Amino acid sequence: MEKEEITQQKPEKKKNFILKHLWDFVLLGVLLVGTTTAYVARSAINNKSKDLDITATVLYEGNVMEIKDEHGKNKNPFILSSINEYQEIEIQGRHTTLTIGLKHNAIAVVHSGCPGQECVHEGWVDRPNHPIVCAHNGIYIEIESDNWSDITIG
Amino acid sequence: MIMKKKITIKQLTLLAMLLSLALVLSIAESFIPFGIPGLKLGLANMVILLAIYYFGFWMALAIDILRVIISSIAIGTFLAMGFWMSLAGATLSFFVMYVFYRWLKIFTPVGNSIAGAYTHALAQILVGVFYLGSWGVFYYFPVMAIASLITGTFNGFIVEMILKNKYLSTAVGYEKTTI
Ligand SMILES: [Zn+2]
Repeated sequence: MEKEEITQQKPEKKKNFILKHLWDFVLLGVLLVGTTTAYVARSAINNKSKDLDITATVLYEGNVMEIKDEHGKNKNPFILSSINEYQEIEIQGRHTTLTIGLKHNAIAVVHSGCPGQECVHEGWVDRPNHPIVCAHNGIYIEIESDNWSDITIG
Repeated sequence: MIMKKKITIKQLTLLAMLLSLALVLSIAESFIPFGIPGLKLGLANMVILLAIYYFGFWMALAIDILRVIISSIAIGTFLAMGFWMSLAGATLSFFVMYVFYRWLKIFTPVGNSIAGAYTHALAQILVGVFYLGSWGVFYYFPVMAIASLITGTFNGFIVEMILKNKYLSTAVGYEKTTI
C-alpha cells in the first residue's frame, strides 16, 4: 500500500511543485525585493555621504560616556572632521577595556577584550548611519553628520 | 488532534531528539557573526517548525524556549543582550510560524519557515534597538534578513521532506492532513 502511494505521488508532485509553493515563493519574493531595495537605497545614501564631516558619540549603556582629555574636559562626542593626527583612546566597558582609534573623519575599535570581536571587525567607519556595537561591553558608537540632518533608516 | 491523551515513548524520544537538535543548531549558529554579538541566523527554527507539525502548540513552544535558555547558558550569554535577542526572535517567529501553520493554509512549510525566519531577524534587531537605544542598529538588518530568508527557505524544504517520512510520522502519530 505504501509503495502504491509513493508511485502515485511522484509525478503529481513534480508537476505541481511550482503551483504548490506558489504563495511561498510570492512571500519570499516580496520580502527579498523589499529588503534588497532598502539595502541598495541605504548603500546609495551611504556612498553619497562619504565626504561629509562626521561626529562620533560613544554611548555606554545608552548614555553618553564621559571621556576626559588631558585638561579634564569631556571630549565625547568626537568631531572627527577636526582630527588630523591618528590617536588612540582607551575606555572601560562593562567587562573589558576597549581601544578606540581616531583619525580624520574615521573611527574604529582597534582593540577590545570582548569574546566575539565584532566591534573590531567592523574596521574603520567613515560615514554616518553605520554604528559600531560592542554589546559585551555595553558600548555603542553612533556616527552622525551635522550637515546631513535627516538620517534615514533602511 | 493537536494533543494526544498520552505521550508515547516514541513521541517522548522524538521530543528529546528535537530538543537536542535545536540546541546543537542554536549553539552552532552562535559562531556565525553578523556585526552584533548575539544576532543569529535562525537555523534552529527548522526544528521548531517540525515540532509544531508533530506536537502542536505547547510542546513546540516548550522546545523553543528551553533551547534558548539552555543554549544561552552553554554559550554564556544568559540574560545578556544576545539572550533577549534570541528569546524575542524565537518566540515571535514561533507565533508567526504557528499562525501560518494553523490559519494560512495557502502556504506550505516552506512559506511558514520563510515568514518565521524574517520575523526572527526583525525581532532580534528590535531588541537591539531597544537595548542599545538607537534605531541605527537597523544598519545590520538587511544583510541579516537576506541571509535569514535563504536559510529559512532551505529549512522549509527540509521540514517538508521530513514530514513526508512515513516512519517518523507514524511514530509521532502525525496525520498527513495539511500537506
Ligand atoms: Zn566588542
